[in-house]
Amino acid sequence: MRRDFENREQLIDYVRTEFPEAAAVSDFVSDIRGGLAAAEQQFDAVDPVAYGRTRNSLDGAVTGLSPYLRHGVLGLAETISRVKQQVDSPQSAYKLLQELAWRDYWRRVLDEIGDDVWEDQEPYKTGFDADYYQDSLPDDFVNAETGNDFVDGVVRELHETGYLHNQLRMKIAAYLVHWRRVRWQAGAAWMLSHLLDGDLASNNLSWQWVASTFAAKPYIFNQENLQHVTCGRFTGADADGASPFADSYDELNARLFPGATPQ
Amino acid sequence: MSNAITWVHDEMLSPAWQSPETPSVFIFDEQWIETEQISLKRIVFMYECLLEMPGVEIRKGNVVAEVTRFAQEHHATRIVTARSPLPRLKRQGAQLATQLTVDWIDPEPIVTLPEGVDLKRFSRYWRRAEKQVLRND
Repeated sequence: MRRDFENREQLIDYVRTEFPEAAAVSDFVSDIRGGLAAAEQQFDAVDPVAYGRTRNSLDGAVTGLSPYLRHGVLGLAETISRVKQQVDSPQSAYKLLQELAWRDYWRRVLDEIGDDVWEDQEPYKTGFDADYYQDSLPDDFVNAETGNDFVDGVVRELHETGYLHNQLRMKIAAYLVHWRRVRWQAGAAWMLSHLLDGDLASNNLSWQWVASTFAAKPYIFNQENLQHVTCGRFTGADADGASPFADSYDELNARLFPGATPQ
Repeated sequence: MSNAITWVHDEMLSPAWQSPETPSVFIFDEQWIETEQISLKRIVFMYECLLEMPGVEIRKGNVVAEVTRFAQEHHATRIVTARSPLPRLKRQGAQLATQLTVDWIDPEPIVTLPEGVDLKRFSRYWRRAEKQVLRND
């Protein structure tokens, strides 16, 4: 295939022509650039100490390194070593180093279970059997037409950029599995199709963690937490102003998992 | 003349994996793109990575068939590539190994764990890994 392109537009046109099936899935191109130069630029902006403090906020100092780590543009061991060089003591980069280790952990699990990464590792702890969940994504969800500003906003963001903050990944997964009763496999496949960092190990096993098939309990969130974490960017409300997330955790747990064994 | 080629797969898109004396090839896996519905933006991202790896020949199609063809074109009997836990890459490597010698290079490990360690929960992994990850280099 060609290697000579005058600019990014030429490359994009060429890829669109050579891979019409991929363009048919979604025709968007991300602003996130591939390649070592872009990865180095991204790495230079990493602030390990601020990451530890603010990573759970949408405005926080997340690294944006995942597309580069996923494709081996940056090696995991090399990245860990460079992060440690940036700080006085490894302890001050604790959270970032631990998150990088999660990647190693997921990969070890994948190495052990192989294609079973698509199978429930444990039963759901939601009070429902796996059969209860529907197999495919609802149309209103995948078309970003639910009327909920958070859900539609996140779906559009993933389709357009190929990237989501980890909190948005967890929350949209929880919405799909626990509010819409969709099997995690459908959501995991949808994300793999769009994420620039789409990684079978981290992606599927994190979906299983949210679903509770690789965790002791299901992950959920409420409206207050959503608004806090997203810095007010999303209300979490439907078009009529009501929100499916507007309850305390106790109320949500009782409503979403009426048959679950209490933890 | 070298008797090895490098099979660059999608977990090794860095010039660090290239060696000037070994011909290198990357194949866009059409079956993977179709079955996993890989979207355009991911392919553009990967293509941009490949453009910063000057010696790599870029192809598309069936990975096993194309890597085999590339090896034949270079009279190579050995394939060098990076070890990966991805079942797709393991399967392709196993198929290639029926015809050619495949050298799996391990990416540098971040921790060393005993055989058969319990990976049921991250906390169990982290109990063993923490000191190694946090140690001063």
